[in-house]
Amino acid sequence: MNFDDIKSAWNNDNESGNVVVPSSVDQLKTLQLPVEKLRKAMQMEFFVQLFSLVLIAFTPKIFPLDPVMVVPFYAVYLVVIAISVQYYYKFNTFYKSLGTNTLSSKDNLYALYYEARLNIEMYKAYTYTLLPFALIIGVMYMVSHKSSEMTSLLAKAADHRGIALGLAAAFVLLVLLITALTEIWIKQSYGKYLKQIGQVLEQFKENA
Amino acid sequence: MKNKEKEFLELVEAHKGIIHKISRMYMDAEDDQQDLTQEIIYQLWKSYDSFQHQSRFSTWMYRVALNTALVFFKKEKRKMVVTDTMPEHMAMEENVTATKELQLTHFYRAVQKLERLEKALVFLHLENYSHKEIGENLGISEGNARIKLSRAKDKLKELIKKQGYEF
Repeated sequence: MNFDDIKSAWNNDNESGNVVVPSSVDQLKTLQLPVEKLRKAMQMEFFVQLFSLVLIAFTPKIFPLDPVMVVPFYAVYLVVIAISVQYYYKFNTFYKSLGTNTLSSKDNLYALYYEARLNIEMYKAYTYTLLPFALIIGVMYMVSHKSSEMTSLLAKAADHRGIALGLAAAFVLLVLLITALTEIWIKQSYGKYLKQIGQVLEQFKENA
Repeated sequence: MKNKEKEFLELVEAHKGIIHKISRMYMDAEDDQQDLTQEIIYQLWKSYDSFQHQSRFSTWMYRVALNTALVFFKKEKRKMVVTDTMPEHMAMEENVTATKELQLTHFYRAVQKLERLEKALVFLHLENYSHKEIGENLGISEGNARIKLSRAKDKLKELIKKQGYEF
């Protein structure tokens, strides 16, 4: 056998196998493209985040806060909402573009890949932007519960350098832990689909 | 049914052999082939507005169908291992199956082991596209298409030989 034989056999093959063309386009649905999986993951993420944002609004009701801290709490909450609205606007734009992206050219694949990467970076930036606000809310709770162990520990830290350093180290570790968890979450939710598209695009390179 | 939809479905029906060949090249299991077939038709409809009637439908169809196949991933649970050697029952069928059919069987088995882009290159080559046309279709340079196709053919040759078939 040689390539001419394969070509000849190929040309003679007029089979259409079990290709069933539906009688209506309404019966068509998408299944296993990484783009669609990415879209689904984004949709789920959106609802979880929205639910969390709503839940935060009720935090002072669930975990009582010093009445003096209530107004500052909602001021911070409003800033968080403002940042979130801006982020969700961009998130939504990308989500819609994923839905209209067609596979009519390789350029579309590239556009999709880089837009997805850009959005993942935006997602990270959004998460890290919220970190200081979470810290501020944490401090508000500490101040509200003056008799708590944490407050007395903070008081001790003012006099003992060791305790102060320990607390600082714990804080840094907490930030690192949140960062690591965010990275893992992104990798699990979006990374594999992006990797799949990236691996295919890699094959197009001149020296690949 | 709207005219556009009717026209689209008729065109797909007339060219469904292309979808069949691409599905067979990209997926080994029949279930996966059916899924890919469905996905290709869905993506063709989604992109149908980009089809300019000046060019041939088949030319446009190749592009969308191959791009879909390039980024289509089978369901995890269905992952299959393609062996190098032919199953015994297939070898026995050798005497009764027409040579061309057998050659195609060997070809499809071997092609499963090529990279996704290599499959697209081989497909277009078999559809009598020149290096220039292959490059244009896949969005790569003519030289790149030539080098990659040559590599893919060498690989394919080795894979078919590994199956115990003279090449």
